[in-house]
Amino acid sequence: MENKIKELFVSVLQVPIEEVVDESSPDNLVSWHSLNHLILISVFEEYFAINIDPDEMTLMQQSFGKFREIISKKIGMS
Amino acid sequence: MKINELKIMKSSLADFSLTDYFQGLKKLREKLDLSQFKSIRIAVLRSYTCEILEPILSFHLLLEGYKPEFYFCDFNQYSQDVLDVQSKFYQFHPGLVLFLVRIEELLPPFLWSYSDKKHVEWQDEFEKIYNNYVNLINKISEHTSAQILIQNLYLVSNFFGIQDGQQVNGQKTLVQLFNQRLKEVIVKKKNTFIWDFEGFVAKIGYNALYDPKMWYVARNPYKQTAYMDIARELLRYVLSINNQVIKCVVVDLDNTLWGGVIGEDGLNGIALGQDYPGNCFVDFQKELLRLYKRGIILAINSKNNEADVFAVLDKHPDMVLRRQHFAVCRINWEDKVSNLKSIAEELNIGSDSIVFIDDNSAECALVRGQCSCLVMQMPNKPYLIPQFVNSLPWIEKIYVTDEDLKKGVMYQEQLVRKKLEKSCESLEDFLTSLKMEVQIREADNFNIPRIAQLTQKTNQFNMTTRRYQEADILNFANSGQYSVFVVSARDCFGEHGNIGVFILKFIDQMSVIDTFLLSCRVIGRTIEETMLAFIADFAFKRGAKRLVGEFIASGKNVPAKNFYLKAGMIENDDGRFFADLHTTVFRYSPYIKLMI
Repeated sequence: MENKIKELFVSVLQVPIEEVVDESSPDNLVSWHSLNHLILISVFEEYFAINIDPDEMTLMQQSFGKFREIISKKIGMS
Repeated sequence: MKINELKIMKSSLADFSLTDYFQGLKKLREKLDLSQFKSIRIAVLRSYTCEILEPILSFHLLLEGYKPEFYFCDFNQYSQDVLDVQSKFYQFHPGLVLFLVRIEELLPPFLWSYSDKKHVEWQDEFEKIYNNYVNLINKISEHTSAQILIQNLYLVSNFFGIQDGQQVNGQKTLVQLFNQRLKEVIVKKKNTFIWDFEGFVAKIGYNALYDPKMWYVARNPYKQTAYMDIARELLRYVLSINNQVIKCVVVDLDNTLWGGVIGEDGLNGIALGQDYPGNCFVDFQKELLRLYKRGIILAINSKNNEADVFAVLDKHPDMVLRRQHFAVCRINWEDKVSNLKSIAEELNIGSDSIVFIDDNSAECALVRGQCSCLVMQMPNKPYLIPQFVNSLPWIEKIYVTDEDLKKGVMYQEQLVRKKLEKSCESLEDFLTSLKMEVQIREADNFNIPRIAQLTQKTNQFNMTTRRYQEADILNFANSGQYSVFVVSARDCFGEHGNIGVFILKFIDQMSVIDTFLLSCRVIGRTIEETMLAFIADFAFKRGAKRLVGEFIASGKNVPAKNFYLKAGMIENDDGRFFADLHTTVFRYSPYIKLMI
């Protein structure tokens, strides 16, 4: 499932999977801009049938590690 | 990447999720060789956040053979972009402009303070908006040759709620009037079209579109998933504006045109009638009849006994489609791939402009692997079948010409002609017996849409395959340097309508044939000989001394390759063909009566 999260993540940002690490953030990943962040949120909401609140949306923008952590928690696998 | 894989993606788009789009796009970008793809440059002038259209539309367009590039104006900055001829918008050189503006951003007080003004004052406000639209559209078409697609307006909720619905001159009326006037503008403008957003919302429902979370967080009004529907809707416009429309729908019969199997259930046993599931198949046939009326040809490809099937087509009381609606019937025990190929051959169209519909997944897979047509499998629930036809994006026609409306009948007549051809002893006898009449006229407002359509769609007998939009043809017709002619034909069986086009350019006492094409329906009738002889006479009268023709190979126009040479023109070192108009005599076809 961890792999699936990363796979979805890179498919939206259209970057090679090796480029994404836990420390990746909008500061060092060019395509992770605010518009793509919205798309990320929607793709994950759709794929895992979850709802992500605006507060969580902001937190998830901190780093890929944080992003992954919040998704994992929501789908009950952390 | 295998073509097959692309076709499977294309036929399963209706079930795509947002995730599928992104994963599909990644795959296409990695694996496709885009060198043969047509470029399409799309500028989005918008009043709201809609960037997600880029990946979704890109995916669709890649599947259709386009290589898209996008430009988005800054949020709500479309007027500045259009009015400043130095702007990034113009530097982008768009081929297609999507003008996506909503009433919410256009006139916020109309939504929130409607009661502050009287009806006539609001009319003035809309007058201003209208004038601004006209101005912007004119500016764009003045400085680009782009096609423009304009979103019309939709008002979600009325200021006075249900009371507005009781008013003759209410709030919603103003919006509707505006949309009405917008149509009047684009009727006069070539290359400008309306995206009927009002109709789209009616179809999909505003609540299904609106996303309050994304709106308040990011000014993104619609659900990201709703942009899939928006993109699919826009795709219909893009495809039909560029004439990327299917020409023929080929259907299987058992469990497709009716429920059950005719060979087993018999005439009275198949499901077709007023009750479920027969009513689903009746409506499916009505949908196909709609396509037929739009100018899409219907054909049958089925493993059956011909007599059983014709009994249904001719005698079943609940059949909507009858024998005369099908241009070609392949009812036999041959494999479906060979049948499809012979249907394409008989109709003189490419297999890639055919959609084949069958209920059997094994047949679908087989055909998909071996024929370039698009294969769609019927939904497995009968009640989903009628709307399935409408989900196909390739069936739209933004221009419906007179020829389209008559096409079904024309193909029927064509079949009778073919039978005559077989019964005639020689080709000469056949051509004589047709009693052909050809008319050649200069382009006018009535036939320009058809002329553009012919340049877009004609592949085989097309010397240069230059594709033109209506606006291009209009420019040629209005310029003193060009002459545009359209050719229509009829014979003893009926009308062919407008089937040929030629465009001449006059430079330095030369007449250059920019375009010379003939619809595949009338290839081999010697009409082209009469056209060329007419051109020579016309050019000579206009003072030209030499006639110049070109042949540009497109891979599909082999039938036209040696035409100029055979007609007596001389090939030069540069590959062009020449004729001295003083000395060369072009023969008018003896089988054709020319009416001018």
